[in-house]
Amino acid sequence: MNDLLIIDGISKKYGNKTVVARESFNLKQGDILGFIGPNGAGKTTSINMISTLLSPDSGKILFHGQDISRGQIAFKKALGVVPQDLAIYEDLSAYDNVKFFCSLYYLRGIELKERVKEALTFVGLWDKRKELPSKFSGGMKRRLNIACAIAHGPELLIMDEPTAGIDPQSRNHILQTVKTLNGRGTTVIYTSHYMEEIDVLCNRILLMDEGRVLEDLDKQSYKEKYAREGCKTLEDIFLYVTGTNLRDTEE
Amino acid sequence: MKNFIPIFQMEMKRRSRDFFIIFYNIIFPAVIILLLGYLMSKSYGTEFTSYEFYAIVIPPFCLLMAIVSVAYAAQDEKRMKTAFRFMSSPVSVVELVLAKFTSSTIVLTICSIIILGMAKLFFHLSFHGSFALVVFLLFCEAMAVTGIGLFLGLACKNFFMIKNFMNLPIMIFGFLGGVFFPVNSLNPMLSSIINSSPLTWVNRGIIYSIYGGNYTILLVTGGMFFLVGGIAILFAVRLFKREEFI
Repeated sequence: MNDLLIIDGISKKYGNKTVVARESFNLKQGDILGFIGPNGAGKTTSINMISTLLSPDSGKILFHGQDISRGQIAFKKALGVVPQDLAIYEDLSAYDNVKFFCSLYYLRGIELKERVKEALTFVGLWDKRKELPSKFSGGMKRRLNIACAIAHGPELLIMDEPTAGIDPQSRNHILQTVKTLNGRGTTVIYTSHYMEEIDVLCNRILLMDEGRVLEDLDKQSYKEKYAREGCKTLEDIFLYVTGTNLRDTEE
Repeated sequence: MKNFIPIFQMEMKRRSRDFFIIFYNIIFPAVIILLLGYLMSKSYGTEFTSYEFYAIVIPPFCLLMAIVSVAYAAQDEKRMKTAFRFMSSPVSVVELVLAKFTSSTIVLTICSIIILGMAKLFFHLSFHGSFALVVFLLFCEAMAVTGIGLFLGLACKNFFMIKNFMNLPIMIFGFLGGVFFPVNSLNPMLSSIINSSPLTWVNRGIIYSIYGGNYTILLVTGGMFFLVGGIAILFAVRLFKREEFI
């Protein structure tokens, strides 16, 4: 598989505090990369840099071998982002939300309508397309949040805690959605604090703490490496590597 | 500029349903014209009534107050958390700012047309053929108001700081512009201070064009607003920061 994304030594500082320090990793086409770490590890800052919302202080990000700082439009067209917070207009119907955000990717006319229908059907909200999200449950809003990010057919999808605060049925639906998308060729970066989700979903797991990548292995290698330390689950490994101290961080 | 149209359409939809813009530019001025017109009715004659006076001076004042509403609207995406989507999609800053600018300017101008229409219908304000020119002036003022409002809303994180910061000069401009009572009879020494209010020039422009057939002040004031709006938008684009917008 080819490298879709190369993160080459990116760093970010806020004042004197280094939030991300010379982070490097590659993402192959078809990967589902689990991006884990305690609060304040630098995950969101890393994701914001990959999503071009923040510029790295140093290092570069290559997409299909091209520096994204030079080819931002091409990269952005291939990128879908499911932000941690719900990013939808509560006063617009589900259909209008998906249609508007999809239209920002230069899609118009019949193609736009088809993509919107496909995305809403995919997340199980086609029947609710005319309703306002303000009437939706938490799980339905999360699914709409995903529909807005996938309607334009991104090659790379970044999902930042997409299942936070929802019921098991909606969570299961979202996990199935991610698997199906990946099966169709979408490469995914997935962050979550639910280790069982990462375990079920991801083929590779990148563990970060204090702005540094501590481990970047495939799922099986993790289990083999840490079995001798008595770690049975991914959560055991997570706590073994990052420690059990509480992380009370400020945004 | 491929994304200008969809964002413009969305902004038109949202701004035309914007409670603050509709309330402060249609309902509020109508109520104030009615109230002040009634209270001051004995101070004016029958040829030029208090209702006509306030129907001329209140709409430009309410339009100026819309700086705060536009600044609030500029932070819509931040409040709705949708800014993330805009910034990670192929939308340029110019497309985003221009779409917000044009849609807010158009909606504010429509609000002004509605209130002028109401003044014509209910308070029998006669424009003596200057209706289009008055609308033009208010359109130019709407451009300046939108430009400044967007600049403040996009450059400053805290909306309440903008609101508190802008309320005082707007009220002072209102007093100096003769919105609440005529200021021409005040000490001539104060005239230079009075002239510093843009509302003085707007009101003069409108009154001179309606009752004197002199359009110079109206056109020059319109031109100045046009310039201010353009400069403010240039600053809004140049000083736009992704981190602040999100």
